[in-house]
Amino acid sequence: MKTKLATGLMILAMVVVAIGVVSALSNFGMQSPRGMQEGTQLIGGKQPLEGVRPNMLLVNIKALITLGNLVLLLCLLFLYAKNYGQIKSQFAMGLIAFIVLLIMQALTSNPFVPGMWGFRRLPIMGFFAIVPDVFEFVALSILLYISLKS
Amino acid sequence: MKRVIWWLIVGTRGGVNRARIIRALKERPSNANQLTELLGLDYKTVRHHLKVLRDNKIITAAGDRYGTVYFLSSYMEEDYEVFKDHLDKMWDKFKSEKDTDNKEIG
Repeated sequence: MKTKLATGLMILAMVVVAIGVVSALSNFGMQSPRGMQEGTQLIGGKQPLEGVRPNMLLVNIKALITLGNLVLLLCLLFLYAKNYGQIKSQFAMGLIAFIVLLIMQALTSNPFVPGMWGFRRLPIMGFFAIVPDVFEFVALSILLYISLKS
Repeated sequence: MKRVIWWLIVGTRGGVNRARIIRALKERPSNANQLTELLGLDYKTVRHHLKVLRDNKIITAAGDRYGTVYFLSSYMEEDYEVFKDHLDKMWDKFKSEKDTDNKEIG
């Protein structure tokens, strides 16, 4: 049973690495501003993303969702830390480490956080920049619900 | 099975009380009333925890509705050694806190 699980995990890891390598090497036909040489002229003579302003509505929505994720994670952290206080097991420690890392992820996902380190320019993003955070919010809500309910 | 037990003990809000119930049942199979008295919990809370533990096959029951006696399932008995140290430590802490409370009241 354990050998099967280890083999399955290894295959999964290999597939993930393969997908990562392929996506890192390929730009899927998209023009990357970073990949272009300086001075590259595009159609209409404009530099990539020149004159594009960040959509403040999307930026604010992303900030709000990441804040929501942070609140959910803090609730989970409180719950797991309380249990760890009573039963100091490796499993409980693992849960706390998992939540702390996700808190770091939620903090760094907030579009206003880079401003604290002097990066004043807000990211230019589209609708798909918010989708992963929405999924994370739903997933964390389910986790918190089952943690509180059972 | 071990992961389910760990999750129910440390991954949920009522986990500590569930751990106490498991430890109490290891010592002596009991009914809901006895557990209520022993753990100083609300009867409904105990019934809820017993239902969760039973649904997850950690405990089994025998007897009629009110006289139902609960004891650890064979799965839990098999894996009990993994949890023993943690449960014992938690139980000792709980007992000493309870004794202190009783002395203060007395």
